[in-house]
Amino acid sequence: MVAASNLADWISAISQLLFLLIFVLLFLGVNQRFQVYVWSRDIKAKLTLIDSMAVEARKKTLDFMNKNKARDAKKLLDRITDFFVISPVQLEPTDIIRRLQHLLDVRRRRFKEEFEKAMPEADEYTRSRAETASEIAAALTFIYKYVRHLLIMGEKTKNWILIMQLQLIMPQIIKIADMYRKALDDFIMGTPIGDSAGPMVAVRLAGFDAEWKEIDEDTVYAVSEVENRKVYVIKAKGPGSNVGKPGVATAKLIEELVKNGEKPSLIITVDAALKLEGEETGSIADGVGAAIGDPGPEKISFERIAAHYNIPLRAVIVKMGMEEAIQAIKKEIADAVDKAVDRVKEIITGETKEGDSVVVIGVGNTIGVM
Amino acid sequence: MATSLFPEWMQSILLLIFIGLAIALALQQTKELKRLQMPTKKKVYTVVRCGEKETRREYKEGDYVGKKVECQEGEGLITKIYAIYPKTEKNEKPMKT
Repeated sequence: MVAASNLADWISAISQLLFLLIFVLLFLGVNQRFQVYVWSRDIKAKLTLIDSMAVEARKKTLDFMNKNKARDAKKLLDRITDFFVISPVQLEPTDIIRRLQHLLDVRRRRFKEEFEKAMPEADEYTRSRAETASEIAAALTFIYKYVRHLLIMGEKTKNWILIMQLQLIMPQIIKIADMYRKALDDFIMGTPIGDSAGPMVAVRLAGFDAEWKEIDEDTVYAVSEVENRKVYVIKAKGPGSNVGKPGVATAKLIEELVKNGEKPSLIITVDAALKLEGEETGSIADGVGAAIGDPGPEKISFERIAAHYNIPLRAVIVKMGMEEAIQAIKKEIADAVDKAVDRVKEIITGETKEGDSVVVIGVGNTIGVM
Repeated sequence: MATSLFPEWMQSILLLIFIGLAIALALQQTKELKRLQMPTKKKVYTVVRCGEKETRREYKEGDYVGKKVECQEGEGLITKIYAIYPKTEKNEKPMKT
């Protein structure tokens, strides 16, 4: 009985000592260090997952390239992974769009030429898919490297705020990486993606038998008719993974039409657009402006040409989530294409007269669409 | 004489609850990471228009919207391609407005 009482006293004394020790350690910030340790462990676990996604994407891309008889695919993929574009000087904004467009054009041509050299036996369709697959693999590798950089930097500088922010944002980063991982298979297979809704509308509007002519780099147009209005339909050249240069091509076409005394009465851009959370996938909306999500040069081309000739610039959007935009097209979105075509026709008949000319642009990646 | 806030039987139950919660959290995280590594089980279909009727078949690599394909009635046309994703509990439902 006495022994048991002594033991209880000892336990009580040790507990009090421990409590005191913990109390002192709290003032020394040990709890924070422990918290940082827990966050770092969590980030590291997720980083391993991102790494496995990047490695898997790289392997799939290499397999696809090698299947299509690519020469030295590994070396090319290594170069693409580390390829970069330095954004133009923004301090002096004069002609920034022209400079940015030049840089983007050089990048696009560089990629195209590299893949032409590496995959001479493959057709354009296959090469474009390999190009996009390698860009996805590069994006995943970049995500991995950047998260790792932030983690190491946070640990080195003992910046617990940086580690905390990184840990909090990790679920979003994982979601983005997972989105790219899933999109890779669809690009390799060549299925249309959610973003292909715009080109699909263009094809539906022009008709499946339309004759498509190249108007600019990787961009085509066809002529159609809607209730006695002449409709010029523009889209990227399919069926490969390609977005073309819709803004520049539209400006070029309108300049030609004006020169021939045929000034268009309306420009309509059709594109996939990000929905707000809670909104229905595949819902249609229309508005004013250029519906396009490029870094700037294409969008400004639409705005400039429309403002220059005082042509109303209208936009029709097919709403979808970010994930849905880059993965195989959902049935809801494919069905929404018909609704978007109807909306475009409504706008054309409601806002122009018979005999007028209209330019409709199906903006987006035309993978899996003629 | 040492005193405790909780009786002994309650201490054991609390300990078990904490251990259970820790295990459940760890399992949930592992499950989530495994789910991310799983391929998406979607099905992609191609709609082919043959004459007046439209038929649906599984997507084949090389199919694209507007492609002319052979069918029983002669020449057919791919009019639509779409994917059907499995419905999960986590799939969001649009809000009624």
